[in-house]
Amino acid sequence: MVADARLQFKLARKDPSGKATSGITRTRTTEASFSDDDSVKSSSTGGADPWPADTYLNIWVCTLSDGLLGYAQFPGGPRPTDGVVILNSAFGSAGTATAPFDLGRTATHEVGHWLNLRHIWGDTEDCTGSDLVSDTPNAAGPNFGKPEFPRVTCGNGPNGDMFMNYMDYVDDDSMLMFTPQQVVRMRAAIDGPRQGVKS
Amino acid sequence: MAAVDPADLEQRWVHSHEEDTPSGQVFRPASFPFPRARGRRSFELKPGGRLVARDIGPDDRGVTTEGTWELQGDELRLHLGAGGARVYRIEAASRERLVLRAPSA
Repeated sequence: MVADARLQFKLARKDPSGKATSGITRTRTTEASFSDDDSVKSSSTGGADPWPADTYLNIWVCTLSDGLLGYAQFPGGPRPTDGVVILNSAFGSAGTATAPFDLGRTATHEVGHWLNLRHIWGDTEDCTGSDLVSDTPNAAGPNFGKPEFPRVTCGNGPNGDMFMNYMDYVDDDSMLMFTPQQVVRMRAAIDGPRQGVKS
Repeated sequence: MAAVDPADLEQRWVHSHEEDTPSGQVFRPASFPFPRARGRRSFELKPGGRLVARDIGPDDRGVTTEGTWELQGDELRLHLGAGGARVYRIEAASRERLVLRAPSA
């Protein structure tokens, strides 16, 4: 039921011009925070321009408004905004990261979207939506916090929602798995529209 | 429950899912000090019956849909055009807190 995605990411060692890099750039901004409107992704709106998205995964780390933890872009979207955005207090497991979002799971979730995964509940607030994956149970909506097992919705008993999946909305310490069919979907993305990122 | 005053409802309501009960969804005004979340649903009930709903999108961004709303007794009806209608029973309502029973509950 639990599958290894067999994917590892490394910080870039060369920038787009071929120069050595740490893979991290830092940009001073006068913006107090950014919303989910992609403004962090352009120097003209106080953010930082992406590196070419056909060969790099761009991750913008910033202050986001309204308590939002992050957002992503699926394969096939516009190149100038391709990548994921993550709230600075929910990035990584040290430094600015604070509980309950201090285990790096926001990046796992957003990169899941970047590799074409949908939310475990199928993005409708009822039982009609699908995450386009056959081995995750149908679920009514997002789960939050640290749910108690089981959370039965949409007739998915006895085990209920797979709220411990990285593509639900629970706290970092409560999400711990992808399924085999989610991995199939991610592998299709990394072997298809995302293949330029592979080394 | 006492009759609901429509004027109490006319503002933007954001899902305070941390406060949900087994039968009810709790909403707070946008000015409420919400903790961080991967996403929050909200809807704005404007005077005159206009509705602006903001749902959690498939890539975690908000998705805005416009429609209309009406209050019938203790029933709040949100009409979202092609998105259909959502009908909630109001369990409690004040300017600071709105509790809706989920459509399926």
